[in-house]
Amino acid sequence: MTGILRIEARRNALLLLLPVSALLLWFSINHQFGSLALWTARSAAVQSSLQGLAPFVVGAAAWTASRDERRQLSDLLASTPRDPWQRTMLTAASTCGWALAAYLAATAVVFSLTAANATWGHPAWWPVAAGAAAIVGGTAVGHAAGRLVPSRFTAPLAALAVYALMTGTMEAALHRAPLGMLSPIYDSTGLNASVFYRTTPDLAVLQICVYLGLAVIGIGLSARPRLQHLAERRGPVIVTAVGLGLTTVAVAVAATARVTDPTASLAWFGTSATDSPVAYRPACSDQTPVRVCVHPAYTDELATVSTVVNQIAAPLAGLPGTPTATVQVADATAPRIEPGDPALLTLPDLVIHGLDAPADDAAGFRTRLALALVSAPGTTPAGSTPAQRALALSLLLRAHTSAVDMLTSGAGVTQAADELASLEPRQLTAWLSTHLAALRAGSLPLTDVP
Amino acid sequence: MIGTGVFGLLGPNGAGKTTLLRMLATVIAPSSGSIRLLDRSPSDRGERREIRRRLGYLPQALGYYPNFTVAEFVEYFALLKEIPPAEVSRSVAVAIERVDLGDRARSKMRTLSGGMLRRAGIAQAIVNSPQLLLLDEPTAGLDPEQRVQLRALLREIGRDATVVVSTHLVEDVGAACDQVGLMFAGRTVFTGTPDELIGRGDPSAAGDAPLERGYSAVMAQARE
Repeated sequence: MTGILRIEARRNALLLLLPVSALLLWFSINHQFGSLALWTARSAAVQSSLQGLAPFVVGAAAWTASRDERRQLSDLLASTPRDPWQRTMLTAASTCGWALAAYLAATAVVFSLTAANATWGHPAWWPVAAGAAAIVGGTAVGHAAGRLVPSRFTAPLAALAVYALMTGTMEAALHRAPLGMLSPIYDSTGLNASVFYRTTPDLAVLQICVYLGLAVIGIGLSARPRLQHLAERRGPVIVTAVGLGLTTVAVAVAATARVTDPTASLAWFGTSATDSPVAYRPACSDQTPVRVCVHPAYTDELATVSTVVNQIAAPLAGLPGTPTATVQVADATAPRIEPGDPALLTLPDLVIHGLDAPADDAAGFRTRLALALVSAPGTTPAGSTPAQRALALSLLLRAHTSAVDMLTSGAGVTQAADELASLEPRQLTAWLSTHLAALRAGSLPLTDVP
Repeated sequence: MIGTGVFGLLGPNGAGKTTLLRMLATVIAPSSGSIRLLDRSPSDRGERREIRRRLGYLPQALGYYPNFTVAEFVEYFALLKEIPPAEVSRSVAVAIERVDLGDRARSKMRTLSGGMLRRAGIAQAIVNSPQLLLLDEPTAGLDPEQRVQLRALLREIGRDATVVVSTHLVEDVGAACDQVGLMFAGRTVFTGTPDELIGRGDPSAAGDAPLERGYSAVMAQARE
């Protein structure tokens, strides 16, 4: 057995594809790598790397499995005493072994880089395990496809089918279709929420069940069970039936789930709201008008966020309703002022780490922040008044930062913003102390803006 | 009933030689009747496995894995034939040497010529020192010198084992076989020694050599 496995491993088709696979693997990971060393996000990036790796693995498995027929070796192999099912499983095992080795090597690299920079937490192993299970399942299914349809076209078609299936189910997941969350590239844990909450690995477990079920089906079908040989070969039929059962149950469970948050977990099992909070000591900025506090996992962002918040909020400092402190919360999508005395600015977990990376995210965060400071809680750019947009835009101009288009819509907004930005600080403070409350309430027309 | 020695199987295209060899190799089951190989029944799963351990087979269309080396290809089949692991290396080396491919043991299969591929196929067939060796057109693609060497090898193996050789070349039969069988339309129309086959020939039969004339005479009789 080990001798055959050794030869199979040495001459496996995936070895030839490994350089390309490694490249795609890295591109896939890098796409979601992010500048912040957040363990949960990096673990998700590892799982998402399957988008690049999986089609190659499945294609290689189908190619290797079909080689006996393509190479006219069936007769010769059939005359040997070794069980053909066992033999073909060794072939599949070598493909799977190389794929897992590539995947785990990528995991090791990503986790090493993360360990060097992360300020909080530890590796999230469930997404990694779900990805590994997907590789095992994909290899087995690809192998079965190659065995059942031993054509030279099976491998490319299988690779394309897997890619289409992954992206299709991912798209479905984004539209909150429960079955879409079984996509191998869908983050299997509530990644950002799991920084703040002790989340259960429910979806990851479900994904693993589905992929292992598919693996068992693939193993069974690789024996090419035929009805006329049932008496002799019951094993493959039983194995296939077990795999079908496991997959069906897991898919059925997923189908009954109620999706409440596509970035978190299945409501059927429990959401981040029902998970227990993780205790942590926040990292806070000192000696700034607005004391910015973030989760320790985001410590590297603190200086940037503090600077941005204080620059934008500076003209409003000391005015009623202006926050003097911030807190970071899970599942929020934009900064928001929580009324109180003093008011509190809540920061989102998702957008924040885009500050020093994708320009759109950073600009979007700043824009939302400026708008949150001058409007009622929960006001969206579309729901804001022209006066609110003008003041928000002027805050951004004063902070010498850019805004996204959503603030500049409306006649006269940009001109009013320019006027506000050109006011002396004293003049602006005086004007704000009189009009800020009305402006936040949305009752101040643009014509009243100087 | 075929005993120890080299048995040559002759016959025109479509006579059923390859089908018979595939049945003897336990690749396909007979559509009627039964076969016993090495005192075992291939229809029984356990006995079939025992037969296959003692079997060597070279199909007419030899497939191969192009990225395997010759040594790996032969070793792969040695392992599939369940040769004890401790004996695999030696058996592989001996088989490769016996077909005179020792200097190409590390060459990839895809780099071999047609004759070399045939010899690599023979090497995998004999790697387990089979008690029943089935060779379908083993001399196809071999040059005259290699054919002479192969005949010598077959005679050597035939001293202790049963060797069944399917061929179109009657001179192979004359040079290497103790027994010869002629097939026509799926049935055996002659069984005997090469000398007996020569004896069936008459001067008017087609052929340049006595054995060819014997073959032609038997075939003409079978067609009547």
